[in-house]
Amino acid sequence: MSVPPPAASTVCAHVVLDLAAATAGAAIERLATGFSQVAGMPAPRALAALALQREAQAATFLGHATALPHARVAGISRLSVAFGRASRPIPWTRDGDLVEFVFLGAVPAEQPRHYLEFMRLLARALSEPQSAAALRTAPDEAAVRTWLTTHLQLR
Amino acid sequence: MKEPLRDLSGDALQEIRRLRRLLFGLRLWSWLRPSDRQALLWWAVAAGLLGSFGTVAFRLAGDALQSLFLGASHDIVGTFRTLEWWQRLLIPTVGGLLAGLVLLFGRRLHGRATTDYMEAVVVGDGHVPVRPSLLRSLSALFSISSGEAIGREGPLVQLAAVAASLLGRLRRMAPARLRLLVACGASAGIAATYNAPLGGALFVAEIVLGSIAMETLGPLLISSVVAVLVNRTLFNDGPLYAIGEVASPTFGAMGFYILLGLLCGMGAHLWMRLLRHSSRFFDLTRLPLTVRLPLGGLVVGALSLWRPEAVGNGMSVIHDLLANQHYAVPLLLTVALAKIIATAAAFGSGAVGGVFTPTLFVGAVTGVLLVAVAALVPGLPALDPTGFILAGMGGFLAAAANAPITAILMIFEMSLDHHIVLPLMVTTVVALFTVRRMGGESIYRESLQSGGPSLFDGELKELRVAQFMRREFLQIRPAARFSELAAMLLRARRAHVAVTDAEGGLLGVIQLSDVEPYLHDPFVAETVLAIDVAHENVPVLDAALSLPQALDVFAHHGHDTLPVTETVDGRQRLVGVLDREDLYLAVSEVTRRSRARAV
Repeated sequence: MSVPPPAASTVCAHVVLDLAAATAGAAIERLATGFSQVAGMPAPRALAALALQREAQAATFLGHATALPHARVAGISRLSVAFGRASRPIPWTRDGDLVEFVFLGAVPAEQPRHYLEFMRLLARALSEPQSAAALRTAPDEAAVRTWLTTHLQLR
Repeated sequence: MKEPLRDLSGDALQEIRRLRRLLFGLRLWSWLRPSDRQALLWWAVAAGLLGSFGTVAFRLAGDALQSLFLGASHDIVGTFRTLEWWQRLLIPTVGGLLAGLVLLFGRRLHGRATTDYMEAVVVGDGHVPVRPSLLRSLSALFSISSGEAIGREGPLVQLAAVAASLLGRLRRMAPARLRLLVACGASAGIAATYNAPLGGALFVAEIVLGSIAMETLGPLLISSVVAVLVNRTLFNDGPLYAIGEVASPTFGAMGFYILLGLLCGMGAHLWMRLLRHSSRFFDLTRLPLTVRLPLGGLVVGALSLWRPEAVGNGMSVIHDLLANQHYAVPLLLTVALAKIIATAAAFGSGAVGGVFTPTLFVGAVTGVLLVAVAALVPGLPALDPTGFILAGMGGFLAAAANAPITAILMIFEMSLDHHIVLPLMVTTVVALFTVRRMGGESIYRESLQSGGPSLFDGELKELRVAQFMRREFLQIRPAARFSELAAMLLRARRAHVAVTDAEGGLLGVIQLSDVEPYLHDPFVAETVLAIDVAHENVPVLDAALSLPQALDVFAHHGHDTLPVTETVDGRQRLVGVLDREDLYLAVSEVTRRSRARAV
């Protein structure tokens, strides 16, 4: 029997409007600090290490100048996301693909569908040029959060 | 940088279209995918089809060989009547020699490994070896086609069971489920042979499995129905015995049916003792197979000089009795005597075949004799010969096989006259109680009890998960792409995929229900890895766990399938999977046997 996809259960832990990072690793470590206030999360360094370990297996570049690095965390029931908008495009893959938007996810290890559903919403949102442009030009954190809530159902 | 969808290259669009086809396929599969119990019914259909084709092939081969031996493929008794005396002696002897040579060749090739399907189901794990079984069927063909007084249902059913066992082994079924599939094959074979779907299924359920729970009877019924349908389509078979109408039983006649039951019970006891003694006699001679079997054939041939009805399985005499019932008692007694001795010689010499129809023959004769004797007593009502013949067949079968329900249903299906049901019920029950009072065991059970212990004979707490798990399962490496996972799930039609490392260590389990809705996403296909969507904290069963412990784990976690691991060099290595259904089948069988031993 299929479980209905999770809706409105993804938490936005942190927003960084001007993410300054020269590499994917630096971006992940910067965003990981945003989870320190979220209950049940490992320490930011540990979280970043998990995400980097996963990134080393295969790049999480999605296209549309977006990356979705993530760490699987046991004991949490919701997907938590930290969003960063790079001040300058970050080289993300070996092919030199550049990333503007980084969504660092702490994914519940026991609920892989949360992650898949979030990826679907994200791909859908960013495939529309207008919505991607809106995220790129959002003036402040509140506007970004509004965008995240509207398109990705983040709380 | 990846482009928006509308600007994607041809290759990427092709990939998306391929993934969409995959998605459609998975959704269709997800909708159509049967539960484990339903899947077993589909396998029962397959077993029924294979079983019926096996019996058809054997029938055709038997007819061809009989034409070679006797110049005619039908009416073996009538054909023997036309043969010269030396032919009547020579043909069964040569047939026996050829049968013995085949058996000897088989024994040299494969040793004395058991091939009997009953042993595979009752004592073993459902594994019926193919080549030894085919060789034994060839031996049976030589015996039966040359006039040996043995039934052909044995090898017919064996072939059907072998086909089912092969099918189940190709699918790497767990032992409990493989046993049931072999039983389905056997049920199909019996049903096709006697054109009796209910009787075939009940025979296997009652005699072989010892259980008529719907979990086991359901698949048996399905395979029987399929086999009979194929048989009727190919051969346009009606009821096995064409009979006149059976008289509606009266209270007065019921008394005689009870007497018939007593006679059948006593007769069946003697019949089984005779077969046993004949077997022991031939064993004591220590003659090789190439001498025993021709010797048995020679005895049959010699008896056929006296009474041609001694050859074959007795079906033609039953037909005659039901058709005209004009055998004079002295003649019938000589026919019966010749037939009984011939069957004992054939059975004792080791000819491969069955005693089902010869048993029915003796029962039919018992019924006729009772009617004849009653007719001699003035004042007694005239008894219905057809009814007593059929009831005698049922009573004898019920007593000899310890299977009253099977006997009632088979005789009813063979005759399709509802008036026989009441007399059958009375005669079979009385016969069964009589034979039990005399200490008689089923002719089938005796051979099974002389075999070794079964996997299912152990104490529940001593049996281990490793003995019942399925060793074939899907696995994928953690860094495999989602598209590879999707292709694997669609090809293999499984609900779970294990994620394992290079040493076979279990890292997690992927469930089809989690991933199926996301296949059309090209971002998911190439970005997501298998490990991303695996459940890591899946309950596992240790291969060394007992069955009761495994039941506890299933009860706590509510999964239908659990991975089985064993510890190797301190690491948990995946070695199999255990389905809840297989565990329940195994526990049910073990518990049933334990209760039977306690009685």
